[in-house]
Amino acid sequence: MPEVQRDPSDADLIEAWRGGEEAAATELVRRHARAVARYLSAAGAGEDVDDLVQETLFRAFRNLAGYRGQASFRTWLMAIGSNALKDLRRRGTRRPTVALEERDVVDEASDPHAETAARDAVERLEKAVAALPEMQRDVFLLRAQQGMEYEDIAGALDTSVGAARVHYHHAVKRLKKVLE
Amino acid sequence: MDERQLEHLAQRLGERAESSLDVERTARAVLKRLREEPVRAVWWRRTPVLQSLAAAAVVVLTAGILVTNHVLDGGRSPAELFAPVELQELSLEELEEVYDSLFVEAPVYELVAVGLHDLNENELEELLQLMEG
Repeated sequence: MPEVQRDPSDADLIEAWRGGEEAAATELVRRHARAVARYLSAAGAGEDVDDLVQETLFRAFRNLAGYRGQASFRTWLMAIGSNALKDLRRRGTRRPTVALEERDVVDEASDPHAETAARDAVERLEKAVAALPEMQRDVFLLRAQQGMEYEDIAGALDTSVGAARVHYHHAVKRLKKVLE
Repeated sequence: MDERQLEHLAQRLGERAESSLDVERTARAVLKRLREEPVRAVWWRRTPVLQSLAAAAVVVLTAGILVTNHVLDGGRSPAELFAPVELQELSLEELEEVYDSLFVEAPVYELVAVGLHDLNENELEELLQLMEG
């Protein structure tokens, strides 16, 4: 009976990269770069998204020794991305903008009125998310956008599960208020 | 709008950025930077022995500073060297550790279970007043 080939896990790839295999790093980028781009864009990275994704992955590989599996690799990447975005804002070299690029994303099969309303809601949500306090924004996006578990989020953001739940609750409350 | 609708909407955020990212180009750029700027381990991190020595030096220096402050402050009690708020945050064991680190004999604490029956009339009155605020 032929042996079934399984895809290497993130942990396998990390180990291979540590052993000097560049191909392992490329595979990790392929797996996670798009999700990081989506997260950073929603966090308000605007036109700097591509550069920030690159910076995030670069920092992650440089600091891989600091990754001890306290959260999934992807969640850990998001936390690094959030810090990279914060650094960019602090330097103020480029003003992060709220991208209004979600116009094409809305389901075009729906009727024009609903479509316009949905576009408007996404745009308002994007602005509202970008205006949230940092921790609330990160927890909200990791949970609502990326579908991550509180345990994972808490591990990546160096907080407790209870605190992560509270941040999420406050974020939802604020966002609902803005959107209603 | 309920929470589910909000989450549904949140999942749409950033989809354009996700689909427009050139992943292969990103991977090449990241690897290029990693080759150009490889990780350089700090020399003292390389050996566990040196790491231990560095940690020991930090402990000795910190203890030295605390003892010096204690002497220079005219022999104030060690507890006064710390902010009251910080002291309140310490557990009994941590307080004992602080005392030990300053070469002061730690007082012996006894845990005594006190019930209402153990209080006299005056103590009961005080307790009631405290509870009433």
